[in-house]
Amino acid sequence: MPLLSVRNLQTRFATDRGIVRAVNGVSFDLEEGEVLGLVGESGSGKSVTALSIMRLVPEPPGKVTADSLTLEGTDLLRLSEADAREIRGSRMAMIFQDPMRSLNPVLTIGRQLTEVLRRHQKLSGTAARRRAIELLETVGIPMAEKRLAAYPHQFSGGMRQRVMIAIALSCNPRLLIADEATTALDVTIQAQIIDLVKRLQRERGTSVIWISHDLGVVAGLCDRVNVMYAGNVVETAPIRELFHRPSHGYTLGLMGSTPRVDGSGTARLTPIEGMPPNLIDPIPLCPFLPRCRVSVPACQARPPERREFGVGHWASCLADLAK
Amino acid sequence: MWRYLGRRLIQVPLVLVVVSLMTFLITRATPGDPVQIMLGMQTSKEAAEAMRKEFNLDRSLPEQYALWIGKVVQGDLGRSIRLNDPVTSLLAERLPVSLQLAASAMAFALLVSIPLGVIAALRRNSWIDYLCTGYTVAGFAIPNFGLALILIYVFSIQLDWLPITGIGTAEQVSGGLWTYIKPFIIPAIALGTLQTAILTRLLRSSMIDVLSQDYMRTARAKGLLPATIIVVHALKNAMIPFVTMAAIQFGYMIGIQVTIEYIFAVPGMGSAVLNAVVNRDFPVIQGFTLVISAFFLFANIMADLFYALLDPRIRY
Repeated sequence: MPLLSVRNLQTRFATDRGIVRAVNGVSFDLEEGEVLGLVGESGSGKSVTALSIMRLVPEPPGKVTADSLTLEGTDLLRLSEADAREIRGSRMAMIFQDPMRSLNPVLTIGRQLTEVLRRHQKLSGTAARRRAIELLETVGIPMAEKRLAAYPHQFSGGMRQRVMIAIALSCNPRLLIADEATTALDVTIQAQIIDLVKRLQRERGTSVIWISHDLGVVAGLCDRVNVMYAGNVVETAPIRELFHRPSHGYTLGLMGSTPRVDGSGTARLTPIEGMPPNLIDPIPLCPFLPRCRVSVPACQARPPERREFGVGHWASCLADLAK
Repeated sequence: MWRYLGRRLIQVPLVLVVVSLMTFLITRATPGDPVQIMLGMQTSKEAAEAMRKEFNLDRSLPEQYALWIGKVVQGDLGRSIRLNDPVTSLLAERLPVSLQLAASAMAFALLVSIPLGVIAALRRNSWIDYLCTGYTVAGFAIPNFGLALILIYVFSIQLDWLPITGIGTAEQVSGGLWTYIKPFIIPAIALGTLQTAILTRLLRSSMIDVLSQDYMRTARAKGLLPATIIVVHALKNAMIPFVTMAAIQFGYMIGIQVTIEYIFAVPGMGSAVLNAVVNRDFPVIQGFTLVISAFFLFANIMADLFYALLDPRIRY
């Protein structure tokens, strides 16, 4: 049984101009200890997918439905809000994009770290403090004991993200969701944070969903990648497979617009022209069709079905790119 | 922090000198002679002259001011022309009453504005939010003396639940807690409603701002209980501007309770100043204005200190 199973996840938001289908039928499994990348441009539904799994979508205006959404067999959508609170922060945890603003400015780091331990593991004040010091040391914060009394503004961005990771991992969650966790950081700090997550993930066997718009970061960290476009997973593949045989027009476009460090790609980056579709109107054909450079005549006639391109490699594309 | 406090405290006497100079000039510039008001029209010229001499009113303006401020520095605010008592002893009698009234009005304002502001922010665009908006608009619009008269009519005359007067009387002070509190209720509501409106509106908007911050999402992602999220994570941030404003408003209240004191026959600073103005009792006007200004300045410094205390990012 996979750790997390998502089937036909749909998240809609009621707005003044109509219903926005932010996530529109996402399905995937996440295995025990697997690191799954979720890539796609802004507005592709990556973050909303994550928030839906965490049960953090405000309802209303949001509405989350799915054929099934289970974590270790627990149906997340059937949980009452009170039961969801028990799972959040303990069995599943999340870190966010901007560590500058994700920590509460008027509470000490110690308070923000110990409150999770006290809430979920029912630790006493001193036990929680001791554990907090251990956690800060684990994520590489020097002089951890002293730093408990410090406030977030006394930390650098990278250090704050380390604190966020310490908070997220404090109760040994089975699932960690990182939403653009390194996007706001310097490249050198980015690498440090990625190494840290990689190390902790291996040590603890935590399953990770790593959300990023940066294929390079995903390549260094993930076992498998879901490429998202317009609220859908358009391609899913093991990481090497995806880079060797991208099988969706959008994945191809993403790769063309990502600089490659090994120098094997073309020197010139090719942007994807146009804008992602409006998610209010129904999209009968392939949502990427208006921007696609490799479309075939069949694309104009019918919506693409999910096709297998290799072991664990699926894409909803009618153009046979891999051949 | 201490250096900042020191700098602020050094400014206080300077501001007070300017305030006292202006008060002095305004009292002298307005028509009306305290001696004539005091003694009446029929008094002999000699008696009037003697009295002028006694209160230094026969000297030139710069001399008068210099003599007065020289005494003030030594803690002597002069004597009331009308009552012939030292202004300081008058102050000792009046100030505690005014402080009690201001404190009860502020207590009312806090008691109403904190829950109302928080609930309105949490239940945005609900009936309770609209009720809160209506209340604040009414609170801003209605003058305190108008509200005082309405409250008196309803709760004292029609329902006969609460007394109109009684603050500062012997029975009030010697009675039990309820006897002590009872006469404060209507004046406190009348005086504090404007502050309630100001503070509710401020807390509502700062709370709404805080609720949309990223760290609130983090708090929810941690699975914390709603009470913890609202009180510890949201309110602690939203209270920063609120507490600052409350401190400033408290200082302000001492100065604006004149009409309320008059209506409810409260023997406080406001009614004393009003009487002093009517009678051109210069030393009382000057002394009381000085003390009221000092309170206002003190409240502002307190507001800044609260700010630094509540927000760890602020360091002076």
